[in-house]
Order: sequence, then structure tokens, then C-alpha cells
Amino acid sequence: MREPEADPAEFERFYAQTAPSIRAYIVRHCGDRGSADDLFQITFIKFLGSRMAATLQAPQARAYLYRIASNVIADHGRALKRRERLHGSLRESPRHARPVPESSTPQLREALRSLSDREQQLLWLVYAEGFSHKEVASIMNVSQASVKVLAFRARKKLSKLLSEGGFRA
Amino acid sequence: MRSLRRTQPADSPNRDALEGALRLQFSREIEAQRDKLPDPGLMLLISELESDRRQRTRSARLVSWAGALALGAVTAVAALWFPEAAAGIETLLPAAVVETAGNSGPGLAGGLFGASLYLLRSLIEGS
Repeated sequence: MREPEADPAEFERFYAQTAPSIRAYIVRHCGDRGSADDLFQITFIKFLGSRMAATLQAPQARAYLYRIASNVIADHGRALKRRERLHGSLRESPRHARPVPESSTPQLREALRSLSDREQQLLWLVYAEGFSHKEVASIMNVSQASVKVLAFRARKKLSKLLSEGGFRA
Repeated sequence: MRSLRRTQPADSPNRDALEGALRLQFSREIEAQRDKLPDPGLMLLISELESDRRQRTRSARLVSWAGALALGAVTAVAALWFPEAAAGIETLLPAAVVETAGNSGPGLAGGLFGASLYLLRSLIEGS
């Protein structure tokens, strides 16, 4: 059976709308930039191989792309952990070696780094992409109630960290 | 009793300010990626090549399984109708299947089929 194919012009439009944020999401949540390039490519290739590629204008296409990206990042994280266990590496974990965007406010940058991967992921989906709790739940594969609780906790934690650092918006 | 309404310290940034700062931070990160993106045409091309590769792998697997099953079926008929002739075939079958199939799945299936033919022949001879 032939896999679904995206219309090139339509895909170009979709790519222009989604690719910068997907790449930023991957760079933020994965270790190094080299891997980010690979994960970005894998994400789009998996998306293009899916049925959703034939319906790029569907409202859920963007959420589906994020779901793929989240799974690809999680797989990459698991593979890194396995490799580290295997080699008994003493290297610093990628979470702490994560590149930090230069344009960010130092306190906010530090505070975001102190959050768990899941909390950072959730804040991104809500504030960078404006996804609803329902969409976030589907992307992160958790219940809507969990999204509400996680979002509340993440905001509270971030708020506390920022106030400790004397942050003023 | 501690008030349930108090969810954040008095000197912490308020929710709107925090959300605004987060949106600004994330939008800067997104903007920083705009000039680092590969060409969408390249993505489509890679996806097409990947799709062709998967298609070829699927076809090759199908052919190897079909070959093993056809060979197995012919041998099964021979074993049932001509038990004497099948005695020689069954010993050659696993090796032949492994040789032609080119991967372990059909080879293993062929091997198991050969072993079951041997048992079948033993039963026929015993009855």
C-alpha cells in the first residue's frame, strides 16, 4: 500500500508555520544541537509518513506534529540514558548541559532550567503554542486533569523561583 | 488556619506578568530558529526516499515469505503423496529455505516446517 503524500505547496505553508517552533521545542528539550537537527528531521519524516500528511489543514495536524516531536525527544532521552548506563559515563547529563538561548532573561532562564522536563514541555505547549488543555493532554499522553495540576504546579514553582531570584516582569 | 486562596507568595510575580514573560521568552527562541531550518523541499525528498525504502523492504519480505511458503507447500504435498521421495527433500528443505530467503524469519519458518515434515513422515511410516 502506498503511503499518503503531502501536497508540496500546502506542505511548504504548513512547514513555514510550524517548523521554527518545532525546532525551538526540540532544541529546548533535547541535549545538543547536533541531535536537535536529527530529531527535527525524524519528526517531519515521521509526520510525512503518517495519514495526517494528507490533511495538513486539519486543526489537529499541528498537535499531531507536536506529539511526534515529544515521542521522538522521549525516545532520544531513553537512548541516551541507556548509552550512559552502558558506558558508565560520568559525563554531565544532557539536561544540565542543555544550550540556553542567549536572548533570554538570566533569572527566567535559570528558573526554567530548574523545572522538570515535563513541566518545561507543558509550559511550552501552553504559552508558546497556545494549545488547550485537551490538546496538551493528547500530546503528552496524560489526562486533562493532570494537565491542569501540572500547569498549576509548574507556574507556582516558576513563580517561587523567580521571586527568590528577585525577578520582576 | 492557612488560607486556601493564598497560592503564591506576596512578593512573587503575578500570573499575568509570568505568562507574559514566558510568551516573550518562547517567542524569542522560536524566532532564533527561523534561519536554521532545512528546506521544506529537502524534507519532502527525504520523506519520499524513506517511503520508497520501506516499500522495497516490505516487498522483499513478502517475496521471501511467499517463496518459503510455496516451497514448503510443494514439499508437504510431496511428503503426503510420496513419502519415500519426501525423505530426501525434507533434509534439504531447511538449508534451501535459509539460502533463498536471505533473512532469519522465513529461514526459521522453513526449518520448523522441515522438522514437522520429518515428524509427519515418521508418523506415516509408523502407521
